[in-house]
Amino acid sequence: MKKFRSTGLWDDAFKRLKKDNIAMISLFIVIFFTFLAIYGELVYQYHEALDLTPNYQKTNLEIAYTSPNMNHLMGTDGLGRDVMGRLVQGVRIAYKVGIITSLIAIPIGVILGCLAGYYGGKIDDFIVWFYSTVASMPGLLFILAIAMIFKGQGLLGIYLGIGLTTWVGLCRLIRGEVLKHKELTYVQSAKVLGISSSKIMFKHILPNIFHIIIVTFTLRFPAAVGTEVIMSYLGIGVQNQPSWGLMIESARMRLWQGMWWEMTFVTIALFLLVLSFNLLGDSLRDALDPKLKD
Amino acid sequence: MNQENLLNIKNLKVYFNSDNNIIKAVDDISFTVNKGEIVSLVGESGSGKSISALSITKLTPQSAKYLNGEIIYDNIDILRLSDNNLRKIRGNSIGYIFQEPMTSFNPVLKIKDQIQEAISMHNGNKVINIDFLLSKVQLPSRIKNSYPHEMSGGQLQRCMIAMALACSPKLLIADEPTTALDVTIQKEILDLLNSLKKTEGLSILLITHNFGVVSEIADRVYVMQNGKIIESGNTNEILYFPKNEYTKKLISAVPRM
Amino acid sequence: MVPTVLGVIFLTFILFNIVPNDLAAISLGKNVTPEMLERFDEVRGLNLPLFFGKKATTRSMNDQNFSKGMYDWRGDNISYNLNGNYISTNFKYNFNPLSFKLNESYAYEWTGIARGNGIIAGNEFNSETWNNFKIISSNKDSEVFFGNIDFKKIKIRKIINNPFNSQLFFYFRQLSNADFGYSESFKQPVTKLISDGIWPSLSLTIPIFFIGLFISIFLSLICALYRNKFIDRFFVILSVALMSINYVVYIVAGQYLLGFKMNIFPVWGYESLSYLFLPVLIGVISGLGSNIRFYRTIMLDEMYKDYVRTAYSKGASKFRVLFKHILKNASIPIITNVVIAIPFLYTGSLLLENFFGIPGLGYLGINAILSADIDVVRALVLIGSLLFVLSNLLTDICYALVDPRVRLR
Repeated sequence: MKKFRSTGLWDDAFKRLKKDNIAMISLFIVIFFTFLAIYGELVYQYHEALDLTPNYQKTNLEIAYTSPNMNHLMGTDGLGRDVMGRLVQGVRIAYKVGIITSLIAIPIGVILGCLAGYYGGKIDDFIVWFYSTVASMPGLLFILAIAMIFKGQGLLGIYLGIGLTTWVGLCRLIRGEVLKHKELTYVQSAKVLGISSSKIMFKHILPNIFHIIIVTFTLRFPAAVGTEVIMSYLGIGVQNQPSWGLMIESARMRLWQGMWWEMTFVTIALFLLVLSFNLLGDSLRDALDPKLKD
Repeated sequence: MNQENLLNIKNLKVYFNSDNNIIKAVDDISFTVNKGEIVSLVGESGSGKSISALSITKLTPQSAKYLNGEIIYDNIDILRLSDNNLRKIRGNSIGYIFQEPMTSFNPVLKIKDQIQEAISMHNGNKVINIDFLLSKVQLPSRIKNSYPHEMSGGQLQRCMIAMALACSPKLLIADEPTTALDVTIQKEILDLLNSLKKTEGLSILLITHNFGVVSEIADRVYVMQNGKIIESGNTNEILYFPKNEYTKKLISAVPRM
Repeated sequence: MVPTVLGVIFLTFILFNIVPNDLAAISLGKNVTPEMLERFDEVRGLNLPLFFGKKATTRSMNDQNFSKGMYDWRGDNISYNLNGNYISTNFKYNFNPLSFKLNESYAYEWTGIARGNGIIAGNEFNSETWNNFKIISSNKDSEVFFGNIDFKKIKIRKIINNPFNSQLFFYFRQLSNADFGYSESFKQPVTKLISDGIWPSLSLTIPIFFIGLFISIFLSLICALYRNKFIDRFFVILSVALMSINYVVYIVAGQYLLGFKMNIFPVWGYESLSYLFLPVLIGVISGLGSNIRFYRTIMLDEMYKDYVRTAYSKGASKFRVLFKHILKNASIPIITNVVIAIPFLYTGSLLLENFFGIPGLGYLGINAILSADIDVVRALVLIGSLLFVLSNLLTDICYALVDPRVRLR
């Protein structure tokens, strides 16, 4: 007798995703960049551990501003450093920013959203007031202001600036979903069985809205990367590490003098990373949205 | 050609493409509607009855493909008409009313504007008396200045009927007109439709899943299942002597008092 | 609305008042004396208790904790005892631990742990063993230290008579007078800076907004008209692609291609209309992606509604359906979006102004951030938030005007 397998949300989503060519290409690009980031981290840690200067930091003014050639596939920058090596480090920094800011923003958004949706009443009132206040803050300016306060502490300003401001959207979504689920029978029966509130929230409801978190992460990641590029371009945040923002900033003037390679390769890499995450996130959202179920 | 024949559908096939599957919504059906009669297409959801109704003026979604068949209305070959000419028939010679009156009206326009639109599109700027139209469906004329959300389901359905009758169509296609209404209102609407058949000389194609509704006003019935017509005949014939098992099930599903 | 306004004020207060002291030092420049810091604090009420209280710090002397090695008392007569973690003093003449003369109108409280024999802050002190002390002195007495005394810790506090005279109160008072503080880096009251910067910002953001709006709505209508055909899919992919290009890249590319290579437009300055052209162009194009997506979604949502089918069944053409029915209904969420965007008109584009040299609020903001000018940043954030709250209210009102289903209570 054939085993009956019920198809859940994730199975259907998977099926739909596999058919979506754009999603598959984006996924492939994302995986590629992820490996680059891991490789970059390994290179970085290796040099840190052995207290060596990595190739991409070694300055060599004699070969400054050389266009792409066999030794340096993407050419060298103003200080003779290998652009490709720096590009890969840029991927690593982008990933650090994307992941850490999500690690800050997502727990805040999820926990506050769950508490607000589940308990309702004064707790809900407070949390809604709180996120409305945070949401009223003028976006980039607020992030920069927070970073300003933590100036001189490297990436901490960036992490906190982005992480502490981008949780509101997720919080709203989660709160809405928890409100909906709270009324469903499976929660009512759990309550009747005497299961504790936190257990209900985190072991019962959360798995059912987990897909929202995944989609939010996939879409927030490129936004965080983009914001970090703007911040380091302005000179806030990363100083001595090859973040893409810094590379674009230093490559800008050189562009006008005819040296196109650093700017071109960095902007293409940035574009591909952000685009693939965006497309993947969109496809994930479409695939996981039960409303689209035929 | 039968002179009484208003609508003649022959071997109609309407298919949809979905995720590389072909859905045979309407799979080779033939039926007729004569002048002055009420014909009902009965079936459960997914039987293809709504698509059949919509296909008469090609109101179906863009992804619908019309394969075989003929739709002859008032001696016009519908399937060969240009979009322009199709539009001239819709709302003019063939009127439609739908299941959800509450959402079938534009929420930001007044009733009178929406009824007037039905007229203006086919008769230029001729101002037909909206009050008169409303009286045909037993609504007071002050209704015309209201917005849809200010009215009840029953009232809105009557408005929809009035709007559909604006250009004096010969055929009224009613897609589950009473399903979303309260039971008492249902009867009122059905009675209204029946009387309009006589006063306006209207033919009505009634789509429903409820045999109770069929028994109220339909003259003839076609039973649909999975895109095909599995039984047909006079209402009383079918009601009392159903031959098909499925028909029997449908009939028995109606609660008897 | 009111709770949110209070929340915004409170949040800006917390963020910018509980700020590390270093920022004050940065914004004042290189040679900062404690006296300058004190004046900085005084002007902003930063030397008051935070929320409530009778005691406040003064920059004239930092808290000294000799047992933890945190101190800046220096002199020939002071020696640091490494084992016991205290200092031994042997003042034969009066010692003044203060960096500058204290304000006469206040009384001061000295607390700490000491032992020995002598004068602390003008008062006699005599204890053979380590003892806590609390001395109230006037500003004159505060300069008098004398004798052989060992100190483990000592700190001075200004005594505030009115416990409600706090930083929070100070902030509220400032705001109620529409006083947004004083900018150290520009040497002007912030209010003036803002009123100067608003017009250049608007001259940039208003064109960007309206041009972007019209183009996006037009394109989204086309997408709705040719739903799922090639041109619709094209715009969908184009939108995502446009959204994925970093703002910085838009600016760099725009300046390079149109400013430098083709030399059509100036890239810096605010002399005449032509200086606005390039930033406006970039502003519009960079926003197109998300705008088209947004408006397209609105149009498509409407297209699938029942009343659209009814309209077709009456014989309406696609054009009629789009313009007479859908656009009218879509204008409800569109107006919401328009009103919500008002605060952004004001904040100006931080990046555009900065890289095109438009002397608006965005330019002001970036410079303030880079020079750690808290007053300016705080004011910009506060005003931006208040405008946001206001625009939400305005949205509700517009909704009631445009949608016959909604009536104000």
